[in-house]
This record gives sequence, structure tokens and C-alpha cells, in this order.
Amino acid sequence: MGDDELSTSLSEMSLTGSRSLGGIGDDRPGSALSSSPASPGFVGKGTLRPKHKQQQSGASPTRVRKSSSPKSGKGGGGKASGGVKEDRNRGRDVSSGTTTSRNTPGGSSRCESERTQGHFSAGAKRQGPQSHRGARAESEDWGRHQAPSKMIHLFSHLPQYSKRSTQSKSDLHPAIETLGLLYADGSVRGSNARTAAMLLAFKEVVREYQLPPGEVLRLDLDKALKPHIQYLINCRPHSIAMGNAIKWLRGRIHSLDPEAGPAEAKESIVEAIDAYVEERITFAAKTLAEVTANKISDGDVVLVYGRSYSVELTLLRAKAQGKKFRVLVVDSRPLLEGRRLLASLSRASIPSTYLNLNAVSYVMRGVSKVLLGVAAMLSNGAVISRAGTAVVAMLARRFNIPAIFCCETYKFSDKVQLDSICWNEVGDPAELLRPAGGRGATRQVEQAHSLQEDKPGIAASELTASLPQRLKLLNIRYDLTPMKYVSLVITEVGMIPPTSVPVLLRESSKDDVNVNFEF
Amino acid sequence: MGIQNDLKAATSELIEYERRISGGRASISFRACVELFFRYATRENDDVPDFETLNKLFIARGHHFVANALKSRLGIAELGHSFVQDGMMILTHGRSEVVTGVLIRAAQSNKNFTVMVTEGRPEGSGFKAAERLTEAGIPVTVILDSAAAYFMERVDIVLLGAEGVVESGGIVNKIGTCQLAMVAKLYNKPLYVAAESYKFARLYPLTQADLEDNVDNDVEKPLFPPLLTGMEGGTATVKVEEGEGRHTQERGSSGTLLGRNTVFDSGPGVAAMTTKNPSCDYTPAQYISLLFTDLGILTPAAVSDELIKLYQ
Amino acid sequence: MKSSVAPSGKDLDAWLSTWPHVHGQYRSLITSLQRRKVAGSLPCAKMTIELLKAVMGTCRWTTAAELMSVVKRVGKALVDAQPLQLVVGNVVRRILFIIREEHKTKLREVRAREGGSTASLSDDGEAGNELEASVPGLRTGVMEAIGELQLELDNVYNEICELALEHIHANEVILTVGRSKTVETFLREAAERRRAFEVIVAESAPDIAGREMAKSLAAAGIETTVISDSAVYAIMARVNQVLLPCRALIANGGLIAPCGGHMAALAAKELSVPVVCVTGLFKLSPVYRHDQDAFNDLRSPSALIEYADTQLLPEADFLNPAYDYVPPELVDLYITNTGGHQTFYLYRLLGEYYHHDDSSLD
Repeated sequence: MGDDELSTSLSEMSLTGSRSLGGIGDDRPGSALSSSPASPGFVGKGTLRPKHKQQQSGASPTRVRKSSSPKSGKGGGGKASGGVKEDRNRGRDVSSGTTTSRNTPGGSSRCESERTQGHFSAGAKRQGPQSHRGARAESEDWGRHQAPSKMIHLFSHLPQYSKRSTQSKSDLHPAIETLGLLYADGSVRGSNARTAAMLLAFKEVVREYQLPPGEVLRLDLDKALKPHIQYLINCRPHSIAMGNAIKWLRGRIHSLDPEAGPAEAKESIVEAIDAYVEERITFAAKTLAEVTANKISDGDVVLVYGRSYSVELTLLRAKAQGKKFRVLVVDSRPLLEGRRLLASLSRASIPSTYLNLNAVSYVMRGVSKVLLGVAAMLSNGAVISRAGTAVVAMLARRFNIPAIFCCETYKFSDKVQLDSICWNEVGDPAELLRPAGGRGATRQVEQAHSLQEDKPGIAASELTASLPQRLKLLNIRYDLTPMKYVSLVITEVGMIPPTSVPVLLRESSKDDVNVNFEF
Repeated sequence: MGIQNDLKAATSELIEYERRISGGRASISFRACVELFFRYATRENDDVPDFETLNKLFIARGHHFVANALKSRLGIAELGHSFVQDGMMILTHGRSEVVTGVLIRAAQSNKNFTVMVTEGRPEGSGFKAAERLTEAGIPVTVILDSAAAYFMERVDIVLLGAEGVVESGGIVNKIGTCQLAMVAKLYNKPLYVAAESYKFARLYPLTQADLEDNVDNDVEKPLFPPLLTGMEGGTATVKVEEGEGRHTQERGSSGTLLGRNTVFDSGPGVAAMTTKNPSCDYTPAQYISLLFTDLGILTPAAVSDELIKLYQ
Repeated sequence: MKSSVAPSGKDLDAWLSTWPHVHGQYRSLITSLQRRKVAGSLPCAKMTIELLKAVMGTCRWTTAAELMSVVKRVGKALVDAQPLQLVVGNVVRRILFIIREEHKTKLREVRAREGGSTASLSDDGEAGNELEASVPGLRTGVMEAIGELQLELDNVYNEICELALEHIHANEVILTVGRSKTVETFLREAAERRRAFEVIVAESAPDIAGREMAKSLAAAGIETTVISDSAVYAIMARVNQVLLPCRALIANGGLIAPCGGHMAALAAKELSVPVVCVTGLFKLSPVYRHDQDAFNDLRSPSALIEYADTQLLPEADFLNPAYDYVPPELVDLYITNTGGHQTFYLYRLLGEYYHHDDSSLD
């Protein structure tokens, strides 16, 4: 599978970006690449190249993750961050009950999974900047980060969102730097796109990697990759599926034949990466779509939420099979990902209806099935997916409508989780302040609805700082759908009930190298 | 009072009579109706001057009661038909005159809807109801009692009659009602009961067994396998709705649906089999969304209130 | 009604024009209702009472039947102007009920004084004719009662807020959806009385009314967090109670909430979080129809997406319903101006405010 096809499929997978469809797309203030020449979706072949470097150095402040706690040991999700300490001093620490329980060394059982091997747990993230950047980190300009008072107690165990100016890191591969920017500004979104892009970028890194004399390839390559991984995580926390891929890659590197020469070894890694992306992401999604499309019958009303790559493929495939069905595209703020799906369905002449998440109760009665995407499939049968998925699945259950989840096996994780709070990703709160969906509301109404204290036209980066004192914004990216709402999980290897997830995981992990990795 | 005693005697005899003519079962609605009539007609009135006036009053009230009873079905139809909307699929159980009234009224207001009726074993009253509705121009489908869960996902509302409405707000109705109500609840389909107010009875069953203690459910009456509805030239035909279309199943001339060579008949020599065949069951209030009565639309919680008022 | 003082339909307008002041009031209310200019249910209710009071005070009537016919005709015109604003119909029926009650009381007094038997009073069949009887003191009685009704409406928020401290405990996390004056007043009352709690407001797209609510709550010194609707289920596990606003209370105990209310209530039910609806009882409507389409409004999809963008989407259509029906089993408690009630009790309250014969205003 050549680079060409990979890149094309990547560009299919890619989401958002205000380029493809005029008007539909959110203007992201301060977006680093909004001024770039129109290129369809994600970068195509050959653009993971230095020419993007010049954009990046002149870029306006991009968002980089800042970990909110000082160096903590293997606390995993257990330790409260420094920010919370401040809050605890205040009179009311509403969630103090819950955070304290997580402070115990044993940790709450719910968060235990964050300390499992090989995962880039929250604790690992916190260690990252300090250990990796060393002295440089301290001297960097950390200014304009999210004020501690604006942090939500409930999510204080997770890295908070913050913006900081980026530094050009000369020791990072330009492909990684570019990718990091694309992650940070949300141009590349969605598990499949992100994971594939990440692996392909690593492929470049491996290709151009030179083994220093006297070093062992296995160990040194791994060491060389670490800062790149860390950079990507800093730009935007990795998803669980990405974590699986990283774990796989490092395992693959670790299990290189020590007798092989450097060129040979690199080649095998490159091939392995290509195979992984090809089989476990691209091909898996296609197979999955085929299987799911068979489940759609004529006359069906299919409800989908947000924009999932596999769900989109499924609908297009079903249409190609000549089936007559209708799609209800449910969308929600702040990401409004459903719009791109709507555009894609419209291009394929699939009759669709677009509505907001709040309206799902209104339409659910007439729906025949619900198709949802997955960010990660957990071992307790729960699904981590875009925030709002749990709501849709719950309503489907209420009306006795099957909720089908499409999930490639590489997203299966041995994590277990019971709620949406133990692990999540806190996004940019300022996204919530963006203008409401359509510009149907007049400017006056927008002003009236603005949360800022009479400061119109303020830059996005300063929006949150200008809010009234007691007002906070919470923008979480994921939520957890409990097993009881999951009717069926379709994977590239077949259809399973949610109770069989650990079984499938066990079967597939037999082939993987079981390596203990701490980061 | 003398009159009251006479009336009481008349009441019990009437109930006995009804029991005899309806094949051994005293219907709960009949009893409730008679009881209510008794109470309504013979309300105490201290300030009535003499017996003559009182007598006239009782008789007037009696006529009024009867007139109301006949009118009440129309009132219920008026109330209930607005819950039937265009494009709906309505499920009903067996045959109920009140429900038929509601559906016909809805059809008269130019609504397009379809009805599904369970056949209502053992007497197959569902078929009669289907005939009646077809005459009124409403598309009807008859299904097996046991197929209710199968079709429930396609149904929009369930509309039932009642033989009696009890204190808890639940109903006593033809056997199979409780099952249907449970399935409807599971599928979150609203269940509406259409019943005249004279069916309100001062009973409070706690369980099905409790019901049997209060109402003669005639459990021991024989239970026979289903019989054919028509025979033509030795080949029996039974029309059964299956899947998208109707198709006719032909069975052997032995006269049963059970297979060509099996014969069941009620005569002597039949294999001894224990059967139980209760006539009605109790459906608790939690499965009922609303009741349409001539006293207005009631929530199950409101039934107890109305009962108190009625029996005062 | 046999004797009908007021004509119906277009003639009503002409008939009312004999009293120019009242007519002016009538026309302006009709127009405001038709154009949905009246902001909020309570102002709507108050304006309706004002108008009906003016009509009753001005036009000539002698019996309760005549008065009721006038009120019914005017009321019907108001209801037809904006059928989705249920409060108008509620007020009209309240007034009709008041007239009935006053009439019954006065009649009883008259009969008692005359020493006649009260036997025939309890027979339903004859009640209709009773209203034809002329009783003295009816006018003053009715006007007084209307005045009391107005007072009740003025005090709705005060009465509701008296329960604020009882229902919010310290360090509680409360979730609410969209914007509601009632819920806001309720929370502010608790905050003013120094109760420490947190509020999470779901922004309620597409009109994001929740932002407005969050802003005023924060201004009142309450710790407020704004979340997107998609986070409702995720956050529900840590919420202590859900406060729902209500557009109308339905007779079976359910309510009509702004879009997104059903979702929040269901999530709360699934996670065993109590759902409380804070509302004035003037919103209690004697209507039984309950489904998603009853009293719903499909608003302009321009709030969802710009029209220009839809040019590229020929196969798509857009849906923007305004309200949700929340069934009674999802609501745990109603906090109203007459205290706290459970859903099963609402049917009882109906009997205290409305008469069953007034359901149709024809």
C-alpha cells in the first residue's frame, strides 16, 4: 500500500477544517492554518514536509497542553493537582469528597486502570514536561494559562486546557511538529484520523532516523521517539486508541531482531507501520462499514451523532448497495461535527435531516436504528465516544431502539471505567463561547447572549479571562456510554455483544507482544 | 329503610340471574353497575316531606341513571378520540363496545389509522370486534393473543375496555389484558382504558389470587383447543396474518389446527388433561396511562377519589 | 349557554368596540399574543386577567350564565390568538371556575335565607340551569375573587421562593437546563440566604438560553458552570438534583419543558438523581394530550444553520422543535406556589382550579 493511497484515505478520514465547504465550518479564531491555501481536509501526500515549517514558526499562539500539577510520582489519576490545592483552601470545595478519595495511595478503584502498563496515563503526562524538557521548561513563557479559579473541581485530576506560545523545537521532526499543530487547532480530529496521521508521521521519523555509533537500535530508536510522542501529547492529549497504537509501535521496536542491521530494521518498522495503518485502521473501517451496511434495510430511519468515520463509510456503503433509507444527523455544540457529515451525505444524495442533540427526544420515536462511533471500547463493555453519545444511546434505549456501535479492534482497551469523569479530556472552554450554530440570531441577540462583561469583539484567547468571576465553562470532549445502552458492537472481525469485548481483546492481544511500558 | 331492603333483595336476585344466563360468571361490571344504581337511587334525603315525593325522586333518579349510562359511551368517545392521531397503529384486546365507539368516533373525524386486535381466546371475541370495525371502514388486523409482544414495537397506543375499574386505579378485564399491559409498559407505549363510570367497583385486589377471592373468575371452566371458523368441502381454512401479507393455511379435515392426524374433541374418551381458564385478570394501575370515563379523563390516581364520590 | 350576551368571532370585535378603552386593550393583547411579543408566561397571565377584568367590569350582565358566556367568548379569541401559550386558557378557565363558585355560594346563601330545600342542588343534571338564576352580590363577589387571583399571581415567585432553603442543602450541585425566571429566582433566594451550592447550567442549544441564565446566576454570586448539552449525561453522576423549568404542566402530571428537558430528566432518572420542577400553578393546564407533538412548536431552522449553507445541501432538511414533553414518571417533585406536590396529586389540584365543563371554550 503506497503512500499515495494512504494519504488519500487519510484525507477522507480527516474532519473539520474550514476549507472544504464554504460557509459550513466554524471560524476558529487564531487558527494557525486558517490562512493556508485551500487543501482538501488533511494534508495529502508530500505535505508532511518542511515547507510547512515556515507557517509554524510564524504561527500565532497555538494551544499546547500544560500539565497542571508538579511532578507527581506514579500517582496515575490518584493525585490531586496543584491547582486543586488552591481551591481546597477556599471555603467551598464542592467535590472535595470525591477528590480526597482519589488522593489515597490505593486510589479509587475506578481510576486504577490509568496506572496499567503501557498506557500514557495522566500521571505519565504530568511527568513528561519536567523530565523531558528539563531546564528549558522552566524558562518558557507559561503565561496566559487557565486561571486556577476557573478550573472545574470535578476535572481537576485531569490536565487543564491552557494556551501557551509554542517554541520551535529543533530536535523534533517537522512532520511531528506539523501534526502537533493540526492536533492543537482541531484540524485533525477523530480517532482514526489522528491515529493514522500519527503513525504515518512516526514512519517519517523512523525513516530519517540515523543510528548513532555505539548505540543499540532498539533502545535508541525508542528513546528518539519519546520526545515526539510527548510533543504530540502536549499539543493535545492522545486518545486511548492512539495510546494502543503507540504501545504497539514501541512493542514492535522492542522486539526487533537484534541481529538485523539498521537499514533492515528500519525498513521492517516502516513496513509494520504501513501494515498496521492499512489493516487495522483503513481496511478495518471498510470491512466494518460493509458489515454494518448489511444491517441497514430499506425504509430504515437511521440516527447518527456527530461524525464518525466508520459510520459515514457505512451510510455511503449502504447507499451504494442501493438501499433506500433516511438519516437523522444529530449535532451538538461546540464542535458541530455533524455538519460535515451532513454535507457528505448530501453529496451522496442520501435524504437526511439535521437536528440538535436536544431535539432527539422529539424524533426518537420514529427511528429504526442508531449508529454511533467509538473512540475507545473498554473492557467492561462501556464505550468512550464523543460527548453526547451517551445521551443518544440512553434515549435509544428508552424507546427500545437498537444502538449499534462501530468500532475497529485497535480501539479496544483493557481499561475499565464506570463514569465519564475518571478519564476525559478537557477542551478549550472558549469554544463554548463561540457564536451559536447558525447566524440566525441577530447580532444584538448574540451580544445579549454573550457571557462577557460588556467587552464585544474580544480575542478568543482572552474570552475566558473576561468572564464574570463566578462563572466557569466546562468543555469535555468525551463521555462514557454504559454497557446497558449498547445493543451491538460491530468490528471488522464480526458482530459481538458488549459483554464479549474482553474476550475479543484477549484473543487479539495474544498476537501482540506483551510488554510492560511505563512512560 | 324498607325500600332499600327491597332493592337489595332485588339486586342479589338480579346478580344471580345474570350469573345463570351468562354461563356461570357474575361479571364484575354488572355487579358494580347494580351496586351503583342502588346507591345512587336510594341516597338519603332528610328534607323530603313525604313518601310519595321520595318515591318519585327515586324513580326519576333511576331513569336518569339509565339515560346517563347510555349517553356515557358517547361522552367517552368524545374524550378519547383526540388521543388517536393520524398514522397511528392502535392495539386493542378482544371486544369492547366502548373502545369500538372511540375508534369509530375517531374515524368519523377523518383520521387515518390502523387497528390491531388480538383474537381474544377462548371465545374469539376479537374477530367480532374486527368485523364491527371493518364495517366502519377502519383497517383492522387480527393477531394471536400471544403475538402482542411481537407486534408491540409497531404499535403507537394501546386502547382497552374494562369490565371493572378498581380502587387502586387498576382494571379487571378479559384475561390477557395484564400481559398486554406489561409488554406495552416495557415498550413505553401509552395504555388507555375506556370505561363507563358505572363499572367502578369497590374492590382492591392485591394480586391475581386476591382477585379470585373477590370475583368469580370461573377458573375451572373447560379450555378447548382453537377451532376453525370455517369449513369448505372438507378442507378447513383459517386466515392468519403473518408478515406482510395475508395467507391462507389449509389444514386437514380432522378439524383442528394441530395437525392432520391429531384429533381433540370434547367428547368422552379424550385424554384427561388439567386446564385452568380464568375469565379475567387484574391489571395494576402502574401500567395504565389514562382512563377515559364519562366523569372525564382520569389518571389512575384519581380513580380512588372518584370512587369515594360515587359511593357516598 | 342559552343566553349569550356576547357574539362570537368577528362580531366580538365589533361588540367590544362599544367600549373603546377595553377594545383597545383587547386588540393590543391579541396582537401581542399573535406576534409572540409577550415575554414569559406570568406577564401573559397577568395581562389576560387585566383584560378580562376590564371586560367583566364594563359590559352589562345580570346572571352568571351571561357573564360566563362573555368570558368564554373573549377567552376563546385570546386562546385562538396563540394556542401554544397555554397560560391564557388556564387563566380564562380559572375565572370561569371562580364565577361558578361565587355563584354557587351566593345561591346557597339566598336559598338558606329563603329556607328552601337544598336537595336539588346536588343533582348534576340540573346544575346547568342554576347558572341562569340571578343572584345579588355576584358582581362584587366575582370582582373580589378576581382581585385575589391577581394577588396570587403577583406573589407566585415569593411563595415559591419560601421553599428554596428547604430544598437546597449545603454544597449541593444542581443542574438546570436553559433559562427560566422561576428557577433563577429560586436559586437566587437560596444564595441570598447564604446557602452555599453550585449550579451547572446546560446551555440549551440552539438558542443557548442557558448562557443568559448562567450570567445572572454568577452575578448573584452563585458558583456557576456552563456546559454543553452533550455533557449532560457525563456530568449527571455528580449532580445532586436537577431543577427543571416548565412551560406548562399537563393534567396527567407531566410537563412541557424547553427542548432538552426530557433528555436531562431521563439521564437523572437513570442515575437516580431527583428531578424537581419549579413552577407556578398558573401553568397547570387541564389538557390531557401528552406526546411530543402536543403543544410543540417547530421553530425556524435558521438557528441551527445559516440559510446560505443549506444551498449546498439539497437532500437535507432541518428540524428545530421548541419543547419537550417530560412524562410524569421522570419527575419526582413539583415545587409550586402552593407548596410541594407529587405528580400524582396534580389531578386533584385541577379540580380545585378548573371545572370539567369548561374544558372546551366553545
